[in-house]
Amino acid sequence: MAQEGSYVRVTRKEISVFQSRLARYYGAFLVGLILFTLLIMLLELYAGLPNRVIGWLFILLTLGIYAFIGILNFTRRLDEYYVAGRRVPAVFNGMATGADWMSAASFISMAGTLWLLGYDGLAYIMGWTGGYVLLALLFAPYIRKFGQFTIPDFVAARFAEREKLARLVAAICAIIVSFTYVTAQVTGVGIIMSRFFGLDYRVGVFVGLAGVLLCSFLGGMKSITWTQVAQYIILIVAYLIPVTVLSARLTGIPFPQLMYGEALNQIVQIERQLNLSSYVEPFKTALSNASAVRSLPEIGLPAPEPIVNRDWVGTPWEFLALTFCLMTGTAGLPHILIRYYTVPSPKDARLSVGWSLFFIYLLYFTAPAYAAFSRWEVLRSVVGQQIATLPAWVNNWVQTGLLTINDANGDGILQFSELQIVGDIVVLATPEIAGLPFTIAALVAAGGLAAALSTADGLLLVISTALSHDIYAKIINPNASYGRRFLMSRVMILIAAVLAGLAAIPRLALIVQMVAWAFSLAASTFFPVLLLGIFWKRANANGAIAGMIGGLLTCIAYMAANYVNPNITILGLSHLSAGIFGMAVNFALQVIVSLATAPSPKHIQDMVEQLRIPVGELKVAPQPGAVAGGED
Amino acid sequence: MEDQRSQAEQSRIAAYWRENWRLIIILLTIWFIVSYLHPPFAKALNDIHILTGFPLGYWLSSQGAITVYVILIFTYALRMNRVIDKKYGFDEEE
Repeated sequence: MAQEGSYVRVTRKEISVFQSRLARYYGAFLVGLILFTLLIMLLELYAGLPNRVIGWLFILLTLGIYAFIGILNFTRRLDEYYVAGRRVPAVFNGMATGADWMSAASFISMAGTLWLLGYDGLAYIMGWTGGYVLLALLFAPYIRKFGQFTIPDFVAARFAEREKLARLVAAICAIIVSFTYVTAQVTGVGIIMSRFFGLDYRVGVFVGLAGVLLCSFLGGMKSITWTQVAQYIILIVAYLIPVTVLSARLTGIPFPQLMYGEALNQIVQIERQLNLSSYVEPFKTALSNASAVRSLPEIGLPAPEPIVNRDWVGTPWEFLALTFCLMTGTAGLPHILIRYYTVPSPKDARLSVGWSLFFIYLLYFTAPAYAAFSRWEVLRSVVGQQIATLPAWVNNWVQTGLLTINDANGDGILQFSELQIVGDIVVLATPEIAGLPFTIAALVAAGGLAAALSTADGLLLVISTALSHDIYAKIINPNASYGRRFLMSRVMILIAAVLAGLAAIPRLALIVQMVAWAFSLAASTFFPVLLLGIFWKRANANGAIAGMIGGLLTCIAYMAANYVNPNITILGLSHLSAGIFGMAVNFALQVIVSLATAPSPKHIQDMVEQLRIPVGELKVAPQPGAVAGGED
Repeated sequence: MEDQRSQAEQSRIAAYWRENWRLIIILLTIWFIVSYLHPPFAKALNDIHILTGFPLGYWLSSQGAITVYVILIFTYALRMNRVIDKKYGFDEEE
């Protein structure tokens, strides 16, 4: 039966049996995690278990679980290696997507960004969630119906007149987008390892990468999926506990998502008394370029003037542009798109995007509460106090360099302007602010590690499949044996991991910036090509290839020019929103070039029609040789 | 005969596609409104306080919009899977 379809079809009944078994396993896992945390906490409080031991227990336990799941899911089947056998139930794919999606940036830096930017930081909250609406309505069911392995597979089949060139360009775009993103994750892993577990940063990077490889090397997408579900559970528990306790302590009600309204109110009142600019007032920051001041000297370029875009500060324009850019980028990220290949049908794909966003929502709905509560606490019991008698947690974090106090006027009292924080402190210090034992701080660190590792897993798989499946097996050596393709994909994942590690070692500030760039790059390349490829039959290969190349180059050129010299802008937009221009150029080129050249042949247009039907298999076999399923 | 059947099939698919599009357009319009139309007025909206004291402008971006996104996706998935697919006979599994 493997000959007729591209995979062995599973029935509804099998899926539902599978789903209830999964629910039991992961339910037990959740209970186990909570019991383990309670046990360690008791040992800490009553037996004096040292912090270092607690940290190591959490790191070894979680890495051990990921490795265990990874080894359990060893596979020799290509469809399992690339798309987890297409039998992941919608809810569990939602959790895996949640972990895949939420990186160190979401887990650790998001709340801090909101703390620093106030209202303006909400562009990230809306941008990184609103993109899922586009994904659900415009992409996911059609990608699933197409049902191959990679996003370049789709581009190559849809634009088959120039199959190899279209595939090559798409694969290169996927590699560029994912590599900019994965380096930041690896950096995040190193930082967490060094801060919480006392490892050297460089050692931390490679221990973390070893963790990633344990999950992805043996079982590819299959083991990545099931580790990501476990990672999601760890990260969401770790994220919700500290802020819930803090909310209970500050307001008496353990429901931070609702109670931070009170915190916002108090913040605004205190700020008014102190004559500070309001936290909730919109459009008062130029959203970018602050980091360029730090990172350019590191790579030997002069730093730009810090304040730019004066004309546009105070207007909603940059906020809206960045939001739009993040949304379209979200919908175009290959490592998220391929997750919808793994569900049983297009109907499941639609539902699964809903579950994905629901699980992401649990964290994003809570992030502003972290920011508001800690800002309230700082304004209430840190600012305006005698520097000699600040709360103990402040002094602890001063030692890490994440919090700086500089009594500029020498009056012994801390003014707001004399306090500087690095955003990451907001999540990391909350357990301490809430008066929780170190065990919870270690759990938060394990959660941050889970977030960074799970995202790195998904990204490395995209890079390695682009190299081994798209470029090697489909372009360079189409006759490669089954075993050789497998070998290549494992070698490539190793190479990609080592390269990402090497790129993370110098620890450039530039790298954190690159996360935002990944979204602009995805918005400039995949979003327009997928949108027109699915919904506009007249789009052809020439248009798509011209669009992808033009979009990519425009985006990179704008980012580079504006980053190095912030005075170079169009419409006042910074490099963070460069995707707007890349996307516009991509759409324009695709439409113009497609209309100027011959339409795609009839069998391709028929395939586009078939994508619309949400049941059954695609009848036009897109490529011979894509059949997978059996053993070698 | 063969032609007629495939013509009926063609128009069934076309009608299904139109209905799909109509739903997409309605939901994307709501998506656009909750994403892009309130931020320009955030400053004025912040003078209104809701729930436990949230300034309305801040609340719309931090909780309002993203809650609507979750509802929009489930609305699309459930309406397509349970109503529209069925209406056009695309609900059979295997």
